[in-house]
Amino acid sequence: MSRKARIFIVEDHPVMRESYTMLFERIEDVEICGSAATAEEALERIPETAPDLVLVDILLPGMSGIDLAERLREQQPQLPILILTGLNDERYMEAAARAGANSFIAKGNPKRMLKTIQQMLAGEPS
Amino acid sequence: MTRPQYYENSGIQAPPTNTNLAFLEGSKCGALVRTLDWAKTPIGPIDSWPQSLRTAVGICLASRFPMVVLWGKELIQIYNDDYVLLMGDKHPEGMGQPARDCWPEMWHINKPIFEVVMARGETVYLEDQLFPIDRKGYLEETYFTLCYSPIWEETGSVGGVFITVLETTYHVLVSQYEEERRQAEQALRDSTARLRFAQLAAEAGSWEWDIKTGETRWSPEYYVLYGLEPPLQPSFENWIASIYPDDRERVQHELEKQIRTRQNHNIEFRIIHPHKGLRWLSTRGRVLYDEAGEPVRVIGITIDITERKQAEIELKRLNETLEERVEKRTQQVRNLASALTLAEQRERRRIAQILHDDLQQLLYGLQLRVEVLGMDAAAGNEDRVSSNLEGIHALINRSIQTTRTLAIDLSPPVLQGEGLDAAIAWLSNQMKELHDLEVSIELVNPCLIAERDMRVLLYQLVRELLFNVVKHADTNRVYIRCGSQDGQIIITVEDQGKGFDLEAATQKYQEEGHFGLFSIRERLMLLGGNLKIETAPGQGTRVTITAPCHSSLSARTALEGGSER
Repeated sequence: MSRKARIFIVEDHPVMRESYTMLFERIEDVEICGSAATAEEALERIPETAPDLVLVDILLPGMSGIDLAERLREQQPQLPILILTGLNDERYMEAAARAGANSFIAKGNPKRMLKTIQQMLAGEPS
Repeated sequence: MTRPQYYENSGIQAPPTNTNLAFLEGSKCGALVRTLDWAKTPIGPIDSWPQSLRTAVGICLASRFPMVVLWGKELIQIYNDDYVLLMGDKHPEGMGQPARDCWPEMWHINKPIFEVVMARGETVYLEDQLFPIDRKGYLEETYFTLCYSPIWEETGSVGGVFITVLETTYHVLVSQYEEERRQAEQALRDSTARLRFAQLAAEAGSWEWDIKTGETRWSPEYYVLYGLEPPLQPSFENWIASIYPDDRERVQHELEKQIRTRQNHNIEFRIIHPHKGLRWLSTRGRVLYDEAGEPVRVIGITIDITERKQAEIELKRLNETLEERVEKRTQQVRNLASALTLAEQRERRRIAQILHDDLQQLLYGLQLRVEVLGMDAAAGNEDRVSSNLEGIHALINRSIQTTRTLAIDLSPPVLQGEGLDAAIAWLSNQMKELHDLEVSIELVNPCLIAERDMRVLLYQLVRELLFNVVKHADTNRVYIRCGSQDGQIIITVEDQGKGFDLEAATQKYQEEGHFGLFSIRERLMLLGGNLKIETAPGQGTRVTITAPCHSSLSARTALEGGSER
């Protein structure tokens, strides 16, 4: 792969944003193309940054991560969207699937998250 | 002329004959004496009668008092016309008959008397003596007043008995009857007096009403009961007229119904007593029916039940008030329970939010940093490992601080002392740090709050009020004034924010049952405190909390509530 995969992060907590950045910096074939603390900000910035994958926290101040996924899916049907959550609840998983998210995983397992991202970028089903 | 056998047998010398019969003239019995054959009797023929016998018989026949002469040992009877009236069927056979044969039923009484008179020449007098005599074919109870006197013969011995007799049966019976009647009347008077006394004691009056004739009787106590005066005649109409106008129709209706259905009636109604005012009376009566089953008379008693009625009314009023009060209190408790539930849910959400939004994110961040640390260590990049470790330490410290804050927030340690000032100051710092709210505090000698429950409640109330300012007032400044007066702590929380329409909020609370400030007020009122809200749109809000420094009630039930508006 000649070009690094571009990842856009939507996460309101600064510590988490910073931690994602540090993690992805250490992975050779991906790069952070941008980040946003709110869904509204993300909707504004994603079109101009043209990411290969969007990583979305489910709970955001204002518009939720699920609403954001739905809006993004309308705009870019092919854009891979990964929703991360601290809430381990199946109802959110269903809602995320209906909204068009490609994958939905719980926070707290970085290795699994990285593997899921790799699979999504490779176009494999997660 | 034959000598009488009597004298021949007795050996007594026969008196000289006397053919003069004038002593037998002038009476029916005298005529009868003349016609009888006395020779066949122990007395012997009339012309042989001694003068003493002739004299005695003459007096007897001439008297208008009932008299009888009993002569000789056989006590042969010679009586006058008035004596006949006493004899009944015994006349005329009794003339010349021995007394024992004529009056066998009385012989047991007469025999000892005759002996006394004949043997000793004494007079015997009996008054209203009972003689059971058989003069009409049956034994009857008769009374006589009698005098038995001796008839002295010329020889100086007693030849017979002269009896004057008056039948007193009628008088005796009348006097017996009168005595009985007198006793009965006395008993009636006694009984009437007792009844009257009982009626007075029971404040009861008796009455009687003849349905057919309309004749009515009221006892004197009945008049007293109704406050009526005797010139008023007893009548059904006057009774109805004495009843309180509103009750008349019902009373008549009930009376008619009870007579119709043959029930003993029991009716309660009111009267206006001229001296005592409104009184409640109860009348109980029994209806008497004739042979055809028609009601003829009603007899009854009326008593004053005013005191009982007043007690009933008072009891009813108390019961109604009690229900009202219980209902009101129940509603308060229901509202409070609802407010407490809402508050608990909100508190849980708040804690969950702190855990998720902050602590959890810090821990996820740490996890990612550890992952990164592993990558750096594997790559042998010592500089990155070192700076990463510093970042991890900082995140751990921050996590610890967050848990500490949460613990303090849940149960502020500053509330351990009896004063509220330290707790309010700490709360102010928290509001500044977490919500950027500037809190100005003015403490004017606030009293100590002995009960921890009350302290916690007041702390929570102030915190709720500050949260309200943060959420709704659209301002970042608030003033708290805390002082005390007359054993009450007074806390004022005032802002210059946008205020609200108190009237609309009150109405909303009444309709929907929840409005944070009112819930706070109810909790305070349960502990003897109060809460006053002064606000208007655009005019800011001032809330004044008043609570006793020493509460006798446990504040426990009012704890953990909160407000939403």
